[in-house]
This record gives sequence, C-alpha cells and structure tokens, in this order.
Amino acid sequence: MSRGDTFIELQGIVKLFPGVRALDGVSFDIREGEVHSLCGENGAGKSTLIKVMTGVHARDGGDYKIDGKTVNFGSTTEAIAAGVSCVYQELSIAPQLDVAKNLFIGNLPMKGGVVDHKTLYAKATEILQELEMPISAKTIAGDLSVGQQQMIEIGRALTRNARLIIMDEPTSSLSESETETLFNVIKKLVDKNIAIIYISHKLDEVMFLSDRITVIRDGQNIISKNKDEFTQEELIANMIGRPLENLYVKEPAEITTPMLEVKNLTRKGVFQDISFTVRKGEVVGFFGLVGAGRSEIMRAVFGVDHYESGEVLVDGNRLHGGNPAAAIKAGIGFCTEDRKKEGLALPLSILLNATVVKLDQLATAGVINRKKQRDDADHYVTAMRTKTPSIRQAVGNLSGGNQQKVVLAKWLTMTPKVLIVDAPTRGIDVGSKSEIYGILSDLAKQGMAIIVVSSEIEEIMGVCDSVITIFEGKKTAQLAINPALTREQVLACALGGEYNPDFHEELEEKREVESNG
Amino acid sequence: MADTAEKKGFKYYWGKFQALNGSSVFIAMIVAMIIFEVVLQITHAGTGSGLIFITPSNLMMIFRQQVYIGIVAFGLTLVMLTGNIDLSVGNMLTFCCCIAASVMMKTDNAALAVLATLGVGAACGLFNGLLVSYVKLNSFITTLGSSSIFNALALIVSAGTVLIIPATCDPAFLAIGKASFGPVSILVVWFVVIAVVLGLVLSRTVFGQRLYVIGANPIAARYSGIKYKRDLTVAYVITGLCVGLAALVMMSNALSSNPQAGSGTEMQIILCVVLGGVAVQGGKGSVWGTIIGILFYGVLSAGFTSLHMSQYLQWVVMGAIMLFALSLDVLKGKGVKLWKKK
Amino acid sequence: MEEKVIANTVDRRKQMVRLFKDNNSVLILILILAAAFIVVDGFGNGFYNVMNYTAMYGPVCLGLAIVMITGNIDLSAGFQAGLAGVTSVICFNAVYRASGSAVAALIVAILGAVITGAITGFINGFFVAKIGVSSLIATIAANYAYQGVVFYFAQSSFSPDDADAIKLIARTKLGGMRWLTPSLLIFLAIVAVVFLWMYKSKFGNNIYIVGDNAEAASYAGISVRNTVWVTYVICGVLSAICGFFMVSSAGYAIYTQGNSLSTLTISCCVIGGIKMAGGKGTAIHVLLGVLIMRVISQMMSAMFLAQSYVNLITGALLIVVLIIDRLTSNKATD
Repeated sequence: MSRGDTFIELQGIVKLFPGVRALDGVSFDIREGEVHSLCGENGAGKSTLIKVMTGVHARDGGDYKIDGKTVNFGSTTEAIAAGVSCVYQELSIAPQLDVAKNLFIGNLPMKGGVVDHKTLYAKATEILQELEMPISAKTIAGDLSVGQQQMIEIGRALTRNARLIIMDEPTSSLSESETETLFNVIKKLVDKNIAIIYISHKLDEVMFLSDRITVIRDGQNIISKNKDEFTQEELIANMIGRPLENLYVKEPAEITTPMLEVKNLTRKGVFQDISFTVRKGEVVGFFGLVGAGRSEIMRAVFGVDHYESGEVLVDGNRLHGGNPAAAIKAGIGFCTEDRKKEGLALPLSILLNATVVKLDQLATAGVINRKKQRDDADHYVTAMRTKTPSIRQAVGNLSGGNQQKVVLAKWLTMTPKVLIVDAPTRGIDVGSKSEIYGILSDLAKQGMAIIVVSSEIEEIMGVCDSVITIFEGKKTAQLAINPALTREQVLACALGGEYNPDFHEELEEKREVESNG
Repeated sequence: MADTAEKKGFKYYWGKFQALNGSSVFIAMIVAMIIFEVVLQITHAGTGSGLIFITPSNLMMIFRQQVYIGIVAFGLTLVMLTGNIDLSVGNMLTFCCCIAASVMMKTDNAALAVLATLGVGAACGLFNGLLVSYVKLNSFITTLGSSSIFNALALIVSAGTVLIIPATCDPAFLAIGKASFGPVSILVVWFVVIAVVLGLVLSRTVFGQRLYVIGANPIAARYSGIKYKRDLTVAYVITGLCVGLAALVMMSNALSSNPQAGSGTEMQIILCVVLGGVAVQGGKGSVWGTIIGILFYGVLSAGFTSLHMSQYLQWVVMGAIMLFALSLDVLKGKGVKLWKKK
Repeated sequence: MEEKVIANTVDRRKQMVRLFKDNNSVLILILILAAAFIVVDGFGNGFYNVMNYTAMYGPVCLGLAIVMITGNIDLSAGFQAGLAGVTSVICFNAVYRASGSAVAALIVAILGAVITGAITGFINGFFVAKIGVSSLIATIAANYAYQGVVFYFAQSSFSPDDADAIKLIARTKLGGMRWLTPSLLIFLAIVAVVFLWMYKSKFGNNIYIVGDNAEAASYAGISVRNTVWVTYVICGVLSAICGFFMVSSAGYAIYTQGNSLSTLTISCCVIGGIKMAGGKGTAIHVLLGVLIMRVISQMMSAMFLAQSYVNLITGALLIVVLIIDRLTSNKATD
C-alpha cells in the first residue's frame, strides 16, 4: 500500500440507541498517511462513530471495510489487531506502573511464556526516542505531565503497529509547547504512512493539521472535502447548520468601583507578586500557557489553595486565605476548569447542584425551605436555557454544554459580586459556547465583576475588556482589548514579554472614552 | 380511552414507586411474608384458624428484634452516604454496652449511665471521624483498626466477664428499654423517632443535603464551600451516638452484657443499609430505604425461625438471598432486563 | 544527549525516593520490632511460634493480597478457610474409612480442601466480577453462606479419624527442627511462585494494571472481569490451603474463627504495604506483613499481656501504618 491509497471505508453506518439514531448513515473513507479531521458539535455523533470504528459498539447497519474486506469488531482488541487504535480523551494511563509497561499494556513482549523484561525496556526506549521524549522507560507514569502521558498513549498505538490512530481532543489539556511536540509527532507518524483521525473543537488546529476534513451533524456526514477547499467560517456554518454571525458576544458595560483587589499575592514556586483589580461591570481575561499559573492564582484567590503572602480584598473587605466558604460568603463565585471533577456532583439532581452554594441562605435553622430552593433553581436553570426535562434530573445525564450551564447557574444563585470562570467553554460545542459568552456579557452589564481564565486567545479577545498575561507565575502585562491589539502582542506577553508601565494610563483613557461615549 | 388513561396513571405511579430507594426490596419483603404465611398455613393445616405469620403480634416482634441494629443502621446510613464506611460499629456497640453495664453496676445512677454511654459512643465516633476526615485515612482500614481497639477496650472494661445489672436497679434505666405507651413498646418508639429524625435531617436540612454532595463528589463539595471534614466528622459522631443509644436500649432490656454482645453485627448492619439502596460509593440512598432493608432482614430471619430452620441453614439461605438481591439491584442499575415484556 | 543523561539520573533518583517511600513504613517497623523481639524473647520458643503461625496464615494473606492488588477485597477469606478445613476432614474420613490408607486419605483431603476453595472463590468472583456487586458487600453476604455451611457440617464431622496422619503436613519436624515443617516449606514455595508469577507472567502483570486503572486495562484488551474472577479463585485456593494447614496443625477442624481470621488477614496485608486502592505490593510484602503481625503478638505474649492488649496494639498499629503512609505519600497535598 502506498501513501494516499484508501484503506478504510465506511458506508452508510447506522447506530441505534434506545430512542435515538445516533448515527444515521455516515460514509467516509481514510487514506494511508493522511490527517483526516472529524468536526461536529457535541452530540453530533463523533464519539459514537469512533466507538463503532474501534469495536466498542457494534454497528446496526452499513458497511465497514478495511483493505476491501468487511470487518465486524467484537471488541477493542480485535480493532487494535486490525490496526485501528484510539488515543482516548480521558487518559488511560496506569499511574503506578512504569512507562515501558504502560507502552506495552496488554501487549507485553513474551519469551518462553514469560514476560521478556529486557526486550520490553529496550523497545520502550526506542519508542520514547521516536516520540522525542527525554525520559527513562522506567519512569513511573504517574510522575509525568499530562502532555507526556498523552505521548505515552500515542506510543502505545505504535507498539501495536497501528495503521490508523484516532485522536479525540488530544490538545485539550496540553500546553502550547506540548501541542507543538504533538504536531511534530503527528508529522512523523504521517511520514511512516500512518493515518490519523483528528478530532478537536479547536478549529485553527484542524485547519493547520488536516489533509481532509469531514463534518458530521445529527449523525450524518454533511460534507467531506480537502482542507484547502474549506474556510473556517464555512466549517463552522456546516457544523451548526446555519451561519453563525458572531461567536463572541460582548456588549459594553458600565465599569465602576473596584470589586476584587488582589495585592502582591505569592505562593512560592507557583506564582509571585500578583496584583490586579477587577471593577464592577468589567471582564478581565487571564491568559497564559498551560502551567503558567493562571488557574493556580484563581484557586488561591478563592481559597482552595493557600498562599504565603499578599492579600485579597472583596468590595474593600479583606478575605482570609485558604477558606472557600469564606470566599463564597464574601461573594466570589468560581466556575472551575474541570466541571466534572470540581464543579458538579454528577449523580445528584440539577436542583441540588444548582443550589448547593446557597443552601445556608435557603434555610432557617438548618432546615431547607424546599419551595424557595425549587424556585431559585428553576429560575436560573430556565434563564440559562438549560435543556432538561426536569430539575430533578441527575446532572450526569446532561450534555457538556448544559452541564456547564448548571455550573454557571450554581454560582449565579448566590448572586456573586465577583465571578471567576476558568476555561468556560472547554469541550463545549460552538452553539453553547456562544450562549455562554452571551450570559457572561449580560452579567457584566448587570454590574458583576468577571474574570475569564482561558488558554484560547480568541476567546479572551472576544469577550474581555482587558487581558492580564501570566508567564511562569508572574504577571507580565495587562493590556486593554481594542481593535488595535493583535493576538501576536498578547501571545508575546504570555511568552515572557515585558510589563508595560504605561498600561494603566491607557486603560484609564479607554475607560474615560467609554464612560463619556 | 378512559382505560388507557387509567393504565398510564398506574404506570406513572409504578415508575415513581420503582424510583424510590429499596422499592424492590420492599416488594420482596411483602412476597416473603406471603410465602411464609402460605407455607405455615400448609404445614399447620387444620391446627388453627386465621393468619399465623402476618399477625400484628408477630410483626411487632419482628420489629422489636430489629430495633438495636436499626438504630445503629440509621446512623451508619449517614456515614455511608458520604462514601465512607464504619466497620467498628459492632465492637463499638459491645464497648458501649460494657460502659452502660459497668456504670450501672457501680453507681446505679441512670442519668450517669446515659451520659457516660452516649459520651463514649460520641467519643468513639469522633475518633473515627477525625482520622477519616482530618487525617484523611482510608475509612475501611481505619475503622477495622478502631474496631480492634474498641473490642480491646470492651474486654478491659468488662475484664472479659459477663456484666450483669441487678434487676433492682434504678427504674429510670429500666424505662429506657422496657417502658411502653399503651400497646406500643418504647423500643418501637426509639426506632421510629430515630428514623424520622435522621430521615428529616438527611432530606430537609442543609447538613443532610451536604452529605449527599460530599458522597457524590468530595472535590466539588470543597469547591462549593462545604466544610466536608467537619460534616464528615459530625456524621461519624452521630453514628457513635446512635450506637450509644442502641447500647442503652439493649442493656436496659437484657440487663447483661457479654464481651461479644455486638461484635459481628456490623456485617449485618452494613448489609441492611446497602440492601436499602445506599450505594457503597456514596451519594445515593436514604433512611427510608434503610428501614426497608432492616425490616426485610427481620422478616426473613423470623420467617425461617418459624419454619424451624436451624441457625446455620438460615445463614446459608440468608447469604444466598442477599447475594441474589444485591445482584438484582446491580443488574437493574445496568439496565439489564431480567424478563422480557411481550 | 546530555539532556537525556540528566533526565535519566533525575528519573533514577525519583525511583529511589519512591522505593523508599513505598517500603519505609514496613522497613522501620521490621527493624524496631525484630530488635525488640530478639531482646525480649531470643530465638527459643518464640521463633517456632512465629514460623508456625506464618506458615499457617501466610497463604490466606497472600490470596487476599492478590485480590486487593486488583482493588477489591474479600471479607469471606476466613470462612472460606474454615470451610475448606471442614471439607478436608470430611474427605479424609471418607477415604480413610473406605480404603484404610492414611496417605491416600491425606492426598484426597488436600485435594478436597483446594477444590472447595476454588469453588467458593469462583462464587465470590462470579458476584464481584461477573455481576458487578461491590466486593465489600458481596463478600460479606457470601461470608454468611459459607459460615452457615461450615457450622452445619462441623457439627457432625470436625475431627479426623487419624489425627496423626493429618498432622504430617504441619507438624513433621524436618531435620529435627521443630519450626521447619513441610507446611512452612510449602508456604515459602508458594511465596516464591506467586512472586515470580506476578512479575514474570502476562496475567500477573495484568493484575497490577487492572488494580491501577481498570479502564485502561479494558481499553488495552485485558479482560478486567476474568482477571478479577481468577484472582478470587486464587484467593479461595490459598485460603483453603490455610484452612488445611490449620487442621493439620491442630489435628481437628478449627472453624469458629472465620471473621476474626478475615480481619487478621486484612491487617497483615495492610501492614505489609498492600493498598486498599490496589495496584501495589508483592508476595514479599505479604510475607513481611504476616511476620510483623506475629512478632508483635509474640512479643506481647512474652510480656504476659492479655489478648485484649494484643487487639489494642493491632488496631493502633493499623492506624499508625495508615498515618505513616499518609505522611510519606507525595499525594498528601492541601
């Protein structure tokens, strides 16, 4: 087989779940050594398609051919044997085992009926070199960074002589430099004639990497074209089924008195001397590479982490550190980066999740006023346009976008003075993204002070009044967002550029102009 | 038309009932009661008239037998909802019994005995709670260890002998477990009161609802400003208090404490709580479910006894039924249909 | 290239630190206890008791440890052992009465015990691995059933017709040394085999993966269900060997100590360094755990302390081990 030949074909794949046609006749093909991106909103059927391809689900109709022969995978093992491997979004690393054993998981080299440890480590070292990873094969996997762990998973596919590697949101938790390494590795894989199915919500990555792009919507493939024939706008339009005028919503809000003041906040080895102010009605973005310390600063402000020195003032009152309950009482709301891990109790109802931070206020002498609780939850869940049959539903049953809305509702029920949102649209489809930006904009207009933490530069520039860049735990700049500001400038500051002392004057000028206009 | 509407109504309520914790165990309990009745009617054919098993006095007896473990189980429900466990309740019960008995023997002062027993129970709970929440130890092993410690303390307090409270002791102490309000024994009152109080605490209070959040996702609980360490410790202390109360009621009734009085009951109690629908991982379940679990166990054991089944055979059958019930629960949760509807 | 060398040394240092952290609680305890033990008791009677006890209870601890490495638990190990002990007596008597040959009876007795263990282990595995009931709860319920069966049979037959024959395994003095019994050698052989098996065989490696990250294991094509199931069968068989050793040591079936034996087994494993969360530990850890537990009770009996104090110390030790573990664990943030 040579490069560019079609070797996998899917024709009219159908997958039924009780009451849903998850896949409704998807057809596309994969060529040797190509990067083929799958785009679509959450719930469009991408994950189901992947699961059918990797043998997790059996298809209910259509034809799946590899090298012209119809295949019926009964398990992932069979798919792996046929050369189809998947790097999962949820990392499947065994954290207490070493790198070599993780690479050869379920596939240990054997000699005479026993595990051949010598070959194991020799081969593992080879693969690590190929992946440009300067670590020993005996490193314990749990000690690696998330990015390195992801590389291990790709390495795992290599040990199985994969012909097709499926990557599902591989960069969602990677830093910029790790992403770059990943792209280099992808290039190497392609040179080895391995095909890649690349799934990402980050369309610029998709445009950069792909040879071809297939868009899936409502369980059907809408369009399949070479990358050069697509524009990003066209791609989005195909994904959501209608052209989206403006993804980012930001209406001007009146910016008044300082609401959150952070002075010289320091946590040794994590961040140093961080000072900033957020005013009523202002949206301040925090931008930095993954690991720069953005989220850590917010965690310290909110009191989940401790800090050694500095102070946090909310509405002029000093907040004691290390106490989330006090921060909430003072009026800080914190939508965390990882909503499933830190934000929601998935098995519990929307009702309880939405009101959990406000339970004290809904109760007299510790007894909850259930009507008040219901009304409150109802109000905010409806205001967010959360799609759910009832607020008694378990949150775990909702889609990612709707879950994020419940997280927002949870903090809005307590009417915070300051709302911190960390990666508010991570893993969320384009439609919900736009809705969430709209909500944030409305909140600012109502006079809330908002901090948006993000590693997506467009997002920051689309929804914030100003952006603070963080590099290696230090604040490098605060830049007012205006049409003159380019993403290169912001990126430069986030990569360690100089702090601009003239900035405050600029910001004041901007504010004056705004309040006058 | 009217027919279909009625059917829908039934389906709706049936669905609601099934969604309740322990609903299937409840049905199983009713079925078991009927089976016992039928079998007894057949084996006693012609000897008597009317119902044999399902009689008020028999049911009341079943109820009364389950009171001690019931009270402990209600407390344990709180702990298990948070995703933790307390394996020490059995030996804690023994220890509290020894305390109650020895205080009564030495002072014959009911108030002092009550205070001492509840105090020791709370202290035991606090010990577990502090280790599990503040020191963040694995609750299974920790309470396995503390179980050993409580057992040792019980042996030390009782010097390894059976403690006997004289029947002529302070009548106030006797009242704790022997009084009755008309036809209703105080045992039943304790059972109902603790169940209702803890049931309401779980479903209606901030503290109770927080326990669910802690069980479902402890990290999210922390980010939501819940002081989970404090709440978890309180849950353990409440369990300790329940154990103390159970010990008082038990001692007042039996007036003697052997050095193994409660040891081993933790297994039975945990089983009942889980049968009632409390998930071992936490975040799911209720006191109402636990009541059903407790009564189911009581019905089975009373039924087998009335069929003159030996204790050993009872253990075998109980074990099998429990495994079957737990399996059904898991399979139901997985969405496996056990029989196909036509 | 230079960068790589540096990275490698850093890795190695990390590994050393990890190795120390994993075992230090065990090592410290051994050092203190062994020293104290030798001072108090010397190598006399105590040594025999420790060896006898280790040979007897070692197998069940090893079985439980394998189950614990997969992240599960078995609270029925004690009565599985008891049941196997009773079965072995029943088998022994049946064959002895039929053939009159003590040797044949002994072989059948051992076989009977092992098969019983395999069956009970299979039942546990069925409910935990196949159905998916929480292992804690499933084994508590199964324990009831085993307990009932044990007591039911033990009423009529708990004493072998030829106690001397059955004592051959655990009471024969090899080389004239009282502590060197066939049972000890069998146990040490089992430790060696299990240790190598878990390090060298594919299945042994899979056990660690399943305990470490079951999801990863199943994505890699490892059958989590079968792996867990097999570990339960192994646990059942090893419990049964313990049950037979108990019979062989006493000369009659010891069947009443089921629950306390389960507790003791878990304690030995935890003190040896097996984690409740799974994914960690080797047969050597278990051996150390059992030794430490027995050395402690030996010390206490040498000091004429009552059983209650032994319980007290055991419980406290469990908690102390957990605390040390917590303090040395690098995950002890916030």
